[in-house]
Amino acid sequence: MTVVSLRDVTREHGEVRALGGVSLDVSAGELVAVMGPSGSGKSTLLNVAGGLDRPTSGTVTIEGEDLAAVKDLAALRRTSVGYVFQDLNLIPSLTAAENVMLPRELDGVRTGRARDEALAVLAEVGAAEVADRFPEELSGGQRQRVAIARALTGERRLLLADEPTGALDTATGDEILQLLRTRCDEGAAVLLVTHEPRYAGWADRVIYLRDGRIVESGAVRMESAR
Amino acid sequence: MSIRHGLLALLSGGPRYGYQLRVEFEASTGATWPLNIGQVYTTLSRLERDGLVAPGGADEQGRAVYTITEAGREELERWFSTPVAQTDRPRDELAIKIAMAVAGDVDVAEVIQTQRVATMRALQELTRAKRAATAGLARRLVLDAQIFKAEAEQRWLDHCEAVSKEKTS
Amino acid sequence: MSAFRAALRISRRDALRAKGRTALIMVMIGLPVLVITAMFTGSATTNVTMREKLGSVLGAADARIVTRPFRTRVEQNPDGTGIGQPSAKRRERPWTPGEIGALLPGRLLRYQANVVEARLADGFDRVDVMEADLRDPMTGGMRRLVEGRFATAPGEVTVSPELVDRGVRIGDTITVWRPDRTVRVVGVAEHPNRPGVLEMVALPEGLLPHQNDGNDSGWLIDTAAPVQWSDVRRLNKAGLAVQSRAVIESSDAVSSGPMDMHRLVQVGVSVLLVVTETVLLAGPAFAVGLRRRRRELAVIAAQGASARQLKAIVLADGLVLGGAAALLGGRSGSAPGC
Ligand SMILES: Nc1ncnc2c1ncn2[C@@H]1O[C@H](COP(=O)(O)OP(=O)(O)O)[C@@H](O)[C@H]1O
Ligand SMILES: [Mg+2]
Repeated sequence: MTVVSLRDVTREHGEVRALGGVSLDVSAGELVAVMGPSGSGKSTLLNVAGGLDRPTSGTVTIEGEDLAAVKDLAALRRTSVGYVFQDLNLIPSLTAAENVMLPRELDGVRTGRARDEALAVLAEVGAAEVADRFPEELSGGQRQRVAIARALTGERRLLLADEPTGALDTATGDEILQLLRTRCDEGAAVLLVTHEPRYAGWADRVIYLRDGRIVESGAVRMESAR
Repeated sequence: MSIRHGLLALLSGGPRYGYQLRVEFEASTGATWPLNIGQVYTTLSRLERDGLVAPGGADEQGRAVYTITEAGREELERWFSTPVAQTDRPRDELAIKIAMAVAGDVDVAEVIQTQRVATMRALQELTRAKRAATAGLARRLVLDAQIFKAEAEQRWLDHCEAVSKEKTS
Repeated sequence: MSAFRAALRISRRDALRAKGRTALIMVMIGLPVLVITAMFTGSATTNVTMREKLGSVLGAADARIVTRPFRTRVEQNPDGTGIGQPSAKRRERPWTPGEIGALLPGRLLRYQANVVEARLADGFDRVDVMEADLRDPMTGGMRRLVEGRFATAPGEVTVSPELVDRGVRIGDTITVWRPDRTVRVVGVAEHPNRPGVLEMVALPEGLLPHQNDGNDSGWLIDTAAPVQWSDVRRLNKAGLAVQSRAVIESSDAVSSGPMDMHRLVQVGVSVLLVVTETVLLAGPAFAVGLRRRRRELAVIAAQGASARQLKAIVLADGLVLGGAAALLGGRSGSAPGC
């Protein structure tokens, strides 16, 4: 089942063409890695795919809904899409649990229930013991675990991760990928931006972006790797 | 084999003498793989035997000039479009290939991308094996070693692409 | 609703984290509020004019005659404030009702007032004491009986509701220090315009010793005719201060109207200035650290906050900081007026 689908998506910033005619499908249970040199449009692709940014032309569909027709993108972000960034992920003044609660509270869920849910997800990602600590009291890996927990609350099935391993050592990075992989195998669709091949190695499919376009993979089809 | 294809690649730029080929080969690869002139002539005679090059005249001192044949061009193209296997690389063939591609008039980006896809596939397989290998730290670390090697190659390819882009633009 | 709670939580924590910024904003907003409340409190306190207090001071009497330690000529304002008297070599003997009656005919009712220290549940505290026979109709309006009865014998008191809040009950005994006495609570009586006062009311000399020493003591008087300014001056000459209902009511009537108008304009202009100052200062105050805030808001937006919710978070900032600042400023501004 396709969770997110991009059709001929272009995103221009004035003269700059950040994305030029990108088509991509990510299915439930699939981990797709996006690679490419810096400035090639990886972040733009992720933002457009998650409704943080609107394309100049082309269509983006999340769980069957055409984003162009969705009035309340914020609500869609709360319920369908989870984001994990490289850093500045967590709000420094909130504890881990409160950070995880935030999207649910924004969605109008009562505080007590949001907290119960948050603790459950934190336990799932192996961060239960840090629930009441503030981000600055956490290691980089713990922070990313909490960010992933937050991206997963409320049964969101599309997870967009922009360089989530950026600041981590390779062993911790592998743990984060293991976590993403597990969520994927449980049915989430994950779109992962990374410039590190070792992490892209965890993906079912790897896409190369260059100057805002997907580079055709030539004779050797990556799909055969699945 | 890399010297074979290396010489073919050089000849695709025009007819050359044996000595000229040696000099240019070493210049292209930065003298990482020094060739002796005997090796060059042995290789050339094998290429001639396989119909990939043809001798065409000699200079005042009697040295033969070699020209690439149509079959030679086809073989060269096949070589460039085939990724190097992760295993069995006697003389870093990949490095030679990229060096030749840069020196010649081949689309470097294409060569790099082809290789990149293949290396990534190897990386994916290694990662899969690592995920499956729950028991045995030693096994895991060996896999990690291969992952790091493959990753280094990927990074090097990215680097090649970035640098060659800078040079051409 | 829970979204707004989350917003308030973020603002509150940020306020605690970024102490420098918080302090700056508090000062920038709190200071003008402090000024404005101090001003308002000041004017409000003086605005309770003697005329409004007449009921509690005079009850139903025509005048209150205040004895002084000496019998030299007294200077006073028409409303009975600003009493001054040159001191004499030695203390005079106490005034007698007969002497007063000779100066101003009428029915007299003795009163005394002072402050004592009383032992309450949580330790000694200063408590006002008023002594007058509240059963006498001349005291009508001075205190309102809430519960129980007025004192009818020496050693009995009524207490103010504030003392009830401090744990005093009808039937209790209260130990008083200076003078050392024990009194019994027989009722609760409320002061009409001093709601928070700690006060006991007893019969004259039912708690305090006889006073003739410049502390508040004297008589309420019920006269046949209103007590005029000339009567007041005559008693002043004899060494007595006077608060006369007729004099206070008329003097207030002539002086207060235009005065208030003028005051109103003055207060209005000051308020306008302070409000303008607040607005001018509040903007830059909140701009402090906004860059850091912006990144945080971007993260919150990525988590699905709508534009309205983001606004709510910024608003919560203002609410938390502005509210705390205003509270702080307001409290310290009104403190001297209490
Ligand atoms: N808001 C923007 N305004 C103008 N140009 C932008 C903006 N965002 C991205 N770009 C440009 O679009 C291109 C792609 O950016 P980005 O998606 O961030 O690349 P990547 O994540 O691959 O490094 C870059 O050239 C960048 O400068
Ligand atoms: Mg980026």
